[in-house]
Amino acid sequence: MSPPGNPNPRVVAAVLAHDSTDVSDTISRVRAQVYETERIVVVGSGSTGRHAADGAGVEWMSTVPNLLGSIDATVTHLWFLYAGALPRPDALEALISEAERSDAAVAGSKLVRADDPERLIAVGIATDVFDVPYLGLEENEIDAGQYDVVRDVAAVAGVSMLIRRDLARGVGGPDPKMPPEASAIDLCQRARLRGARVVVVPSSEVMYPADKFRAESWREWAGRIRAMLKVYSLLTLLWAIPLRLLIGLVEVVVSPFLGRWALFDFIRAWIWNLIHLPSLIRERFAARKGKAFGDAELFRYQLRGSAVLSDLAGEIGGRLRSRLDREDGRSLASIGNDLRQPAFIVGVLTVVVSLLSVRSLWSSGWPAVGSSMPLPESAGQAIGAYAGGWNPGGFGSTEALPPLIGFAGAIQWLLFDSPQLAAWTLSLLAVVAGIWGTIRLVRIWDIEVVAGWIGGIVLVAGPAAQAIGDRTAIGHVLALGALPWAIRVAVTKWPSGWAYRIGRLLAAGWVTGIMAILAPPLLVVPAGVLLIRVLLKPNRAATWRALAISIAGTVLAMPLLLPWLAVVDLEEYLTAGAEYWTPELIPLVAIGVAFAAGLLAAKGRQADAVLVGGVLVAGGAVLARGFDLGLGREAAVSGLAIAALGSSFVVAGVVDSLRTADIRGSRRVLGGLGAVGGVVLLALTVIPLYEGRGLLPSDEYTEPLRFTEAADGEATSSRILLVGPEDTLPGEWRLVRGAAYRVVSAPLPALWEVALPGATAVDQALESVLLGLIDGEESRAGAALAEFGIRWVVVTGDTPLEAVFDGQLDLISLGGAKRPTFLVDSENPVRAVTAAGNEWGRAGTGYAGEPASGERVRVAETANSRWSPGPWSQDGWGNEVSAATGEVWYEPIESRRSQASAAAGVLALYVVGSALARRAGR
Amino acid sequence: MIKRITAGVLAGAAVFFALTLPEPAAPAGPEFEGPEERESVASATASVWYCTWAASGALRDSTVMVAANVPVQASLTLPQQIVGEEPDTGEVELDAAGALAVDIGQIVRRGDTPLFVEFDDGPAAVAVVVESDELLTGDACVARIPKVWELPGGTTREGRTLTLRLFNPFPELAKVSVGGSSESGETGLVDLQNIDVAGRTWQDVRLNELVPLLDDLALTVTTSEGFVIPSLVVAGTGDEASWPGVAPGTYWEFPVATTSAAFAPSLMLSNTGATAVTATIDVFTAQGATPAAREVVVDPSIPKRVDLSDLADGALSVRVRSAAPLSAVVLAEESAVVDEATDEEGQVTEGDEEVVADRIAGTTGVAAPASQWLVPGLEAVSDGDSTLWLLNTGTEAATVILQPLGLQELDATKQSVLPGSVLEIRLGYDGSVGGYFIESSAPISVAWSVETEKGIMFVAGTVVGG
Repeated sequence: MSPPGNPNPRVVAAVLAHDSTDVSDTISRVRAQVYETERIVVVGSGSTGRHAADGAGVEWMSTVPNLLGSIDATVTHLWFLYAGALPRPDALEALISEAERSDAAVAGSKLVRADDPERLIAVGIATDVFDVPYLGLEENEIDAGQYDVVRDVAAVAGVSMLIRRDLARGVGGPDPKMPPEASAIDLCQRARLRGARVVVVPSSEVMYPADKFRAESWREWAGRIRAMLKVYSLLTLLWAIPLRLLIGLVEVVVSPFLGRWALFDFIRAWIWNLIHLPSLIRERFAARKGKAFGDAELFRYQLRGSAVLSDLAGEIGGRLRSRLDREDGRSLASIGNDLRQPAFIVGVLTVVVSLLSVRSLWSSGWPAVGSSMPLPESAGQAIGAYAGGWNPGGFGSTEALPPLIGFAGAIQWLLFDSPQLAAWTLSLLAVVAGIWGTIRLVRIWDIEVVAGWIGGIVLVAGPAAQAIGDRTAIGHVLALGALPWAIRVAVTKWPSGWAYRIGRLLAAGWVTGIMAILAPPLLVVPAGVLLIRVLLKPNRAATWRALAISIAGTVLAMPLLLPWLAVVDLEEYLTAGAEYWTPELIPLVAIGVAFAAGLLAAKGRQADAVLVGGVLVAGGAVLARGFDLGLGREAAVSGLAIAALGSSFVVAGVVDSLRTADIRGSRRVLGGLGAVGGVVLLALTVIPLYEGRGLLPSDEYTEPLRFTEAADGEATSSRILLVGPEDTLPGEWRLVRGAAYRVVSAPLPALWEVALPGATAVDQALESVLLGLIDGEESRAGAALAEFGIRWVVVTGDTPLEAVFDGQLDLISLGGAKRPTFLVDSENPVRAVTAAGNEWGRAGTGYAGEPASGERVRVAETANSRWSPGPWSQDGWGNEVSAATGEVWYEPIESRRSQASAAAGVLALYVVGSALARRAGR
Repeated sequence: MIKRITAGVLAGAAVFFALTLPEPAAPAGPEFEGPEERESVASATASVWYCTWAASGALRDSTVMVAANVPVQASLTLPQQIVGEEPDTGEVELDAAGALAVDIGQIVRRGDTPLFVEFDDGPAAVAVVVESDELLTGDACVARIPKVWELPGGTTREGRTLTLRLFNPFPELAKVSVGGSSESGETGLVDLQNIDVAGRTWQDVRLNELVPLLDDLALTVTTSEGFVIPSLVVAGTGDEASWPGVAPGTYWEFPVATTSAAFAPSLMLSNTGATAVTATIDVFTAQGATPAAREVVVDPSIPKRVDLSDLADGALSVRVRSAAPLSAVVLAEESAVVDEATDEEGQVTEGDEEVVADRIAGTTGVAAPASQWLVPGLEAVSDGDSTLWLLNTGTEAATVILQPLGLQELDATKQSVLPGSVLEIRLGYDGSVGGYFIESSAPISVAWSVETEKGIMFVAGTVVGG
């Protein structure tokens, strides 16, 4: 760094041509500076920049590093200017003199609007810890000199930044991968880490087009994340990354209610950073090498809290004020008007209700009860298991896992491999999307936002949705969020441009696909709903077109279900399991009253909504009670989802009918009666929403099985045999002489274990052991169960199987357990053990242990020759493989892996294609 | 409006249809109420036999008699009385149907050694013989493990010591309560409530110290947690008799109640029910049957000792029938022969009498006659005269094939047991024979006895079934 007080600073001006903005005005302004520059160089923008430089008679350099390399040691400073910046003649002089006076290595100018120089754009930049800038100015704030003091700031705008040459060379200049604003913040932070002061010099004034400053884009999001990841210590990143993610999610959820759509920017920003991880690591190494200060020095100039949340709060507050400040703001009439169009309030309510409804999932994820289980610990393993890997249900199998496992795994992977965060996020998005989607969907019947909101609440938490939750059908609970969107995407106005149309079809494909991934039987529901609409309005071309789009979406969605769709026996899938919906009387009467009253009272499109809804409720009820028709659990739960959708239409239609002025007299009374029915259904959602578990019942297995974690050795290396009544066992079960039991992984089964594959030799072997126990022929149940890797027997409820474990020579009753529990007192009750008796622990769906050259390890999983490393041999119903590498894994089925990869690719293609086509269409 | 009505009617019809759809039938539920109760029957499966009264030390030797109809591997486990100590173990194998005797001293010598024997196949059965210079006792081991055991036949009268052994071969602690009834009615055994018997250990309860001088004492052992295998041991001046717990029944056969007039037989009956029960006692000898030789009333909670010595002269078998369940054992006690010390003048010296013969035997009965029996140990007790007792209480003669079992193939013999009689077959000692497999054309009951100068013992045969 140059010594302070350099008597004759020499400056090179670098005009950064980021886009096509004309550089000539900027160059003229630089030439007009009272403090003359040594050179003026236009940097970047390829041939455009070169031509502009030629036109202005100045040098051109392709990149900043090239420029830095070309500057000799006599030059003390670099003055970076964005193309379009119009510095006042004394701007550079002020920067030089104040920087020298304050011994600052980086100095920035005050920015004012080019079209109205009395108004401020920025006077230095504060950031939060996540490198999100915060200007601290009111909108269109007038420059009255209120900020005219040289001060240290977190960063200065890159529009006009003076930096010492040696520092610029030392830190490597601006990061070329970053957009302008993030790049400036990043440069200032790296400078500060090396001990440099960063100051804003308000006496140096630069005019700049206000609309070009802070152009929010996903690249800026990505750049800020990159800047954060580059400079902080790992310890800071440990808490900063999850918090940044969380704040991003909040922004994603809230933004739509403020008229923005942040989801894709959020996803893109993180994916971009993942893609550029190698360069990030290099840059991080360079940035932190030779640092003079730690993170604390950066924190000194940063805001407390989150700038994003502050902005959101400010924006929400502003909107509230704008509503209440109106002249008629306090009149009853205006309140009535607000209630008729309370998009904002409904948005806030939706967020509040959604957050409330899933709050308990934040810390623990999905509860362990029924068919609901926490997500697997490793997202990679879950994705691998779905994509042709080992299905770990029961004793394992090659049966394909449901697509939900792969999808949830992908979400978990994006969310830092946190199963809790993934479960919470999915549930939250489902509730928000369900409510919001219903509001948007019922617009096709001209139903306004309040009625739509009530309908949305009934969709995601009404009696039918509660019935789904009670059945712990997680996929269907989540799919309720996508269901209205899958219909809406087909019914919105058919665009005119072909690109737009293709985009719409692709959107129909991926939205329907996401819904079907969550709950495959719902794949045909959107088209079915639209078919009902066609039957009601057969003369309208739009209804036929919507049906056609939905069918196209259904067809396009099918590849997304691979490889599951290719191998599943659909008949078995739809007929397996016994399920039956017995609705409570009150909601049954309420929906009946709402439907009948709505049918008689509502007019026009509202009546259509009630009609379609009623038909859906009826059809859904038939499916949900259709056990006698041969329908199984999946079909029944899908029927509940259809009934939930239908009841949301009925409620929205009948509530909205009250808004219609020409409904009078007895019709109005009837409408009111129907609305009461709707309100009753709404009221019935309060408790399940308040419980905060995303409609799922409370956890039943975590506590009773937690004791396994305190046992000697790794709990994960063993299994638990659960015995008890069917409704007390997780997921599916098997029967031995009519008594239910199932085997799960310790310490707690994950979601991928819920379904039991078809019985194999190992299941028959276990059944034989249990029969021996029942017949009183077995006296060493522990040794027999240890063969299966079973270390514990836990009794979940009244069952005669409990008594069969009494009087065994190698089972110990554990008195302190929450449920009657027996401990196997036999050697190696583990899933994988070497011939020498060394126990191996579980690693995903495989195993790991001490490598033992020449030894064999017995793997207590269903025999399959894909277990590796070879040579593989069958040991009874189990497997034996080499213990040489210290790892045992299942070699995935390539065809399924390819199909899964293709499905992911197709999904990405649909999403990106629909976005691009939409943009092109515009 | 028509469209609405039509749609409404259709929706209503669908709802009505949905409401008429029947609910799935509730799951049938378990087809069993609990595990099949294990019986002390040699079945064609793996099995475990618990032998409570065994000891191998400086004074006593015990021999485990193993017999099987099929090739088996047998694991012997001898838990320690100290909690947590690893048990001693032994393994024996029969390559074919056969029998053998395992000297526990070859495995360990540490005094009391209750044990259990696990067979990997069956039918197989076990008996244990305990010997010393002064005693000979033993009985068949048991496979059943009920929560409640009945142990009739105890006494704490003068000259007799009574010990209750509570053997817990299982890994978990057992909580045991012992109830008793004597000729005076229920006996308060307050010290024997909620006794903890640690897993894989045992406890001996000296009943003379708790309830002395009771002529008749029947015990009920109840486990509230875990399981124990109890055994009752009556000791005289030298010899002992031991028998395991029994399950109450309405029918009992005792193929041997006494072997000769030298041993006074008595039948011990106990009634844990609420009302008095009349028991009919039929007597069988080699000459024939004496139906209803005696009828006795057994009051609740008052054990009944029935002296059988006046019913026949010499060896006899008995059958007990009752309308309600009773538990029963037989005891045969030698009439004490007192060797009176004399002074130089030949006068009897007061107080210096010495009992020189006080042999005792006892055994549990057979709940039902059967056609196949395993008799481990028969002919395998050295220095003893083994006698096989075959009781045919039926109305047809039974043709019985006696197949000696050993480590090599032996020739079978055939006998006929007349209806309503007991057949006594004296066999002596044969080192090549370790037991018998007995097959009969009609149901019979089987027991065997061994008599030596130092003691006498009765051993019930083991039914082959399942």
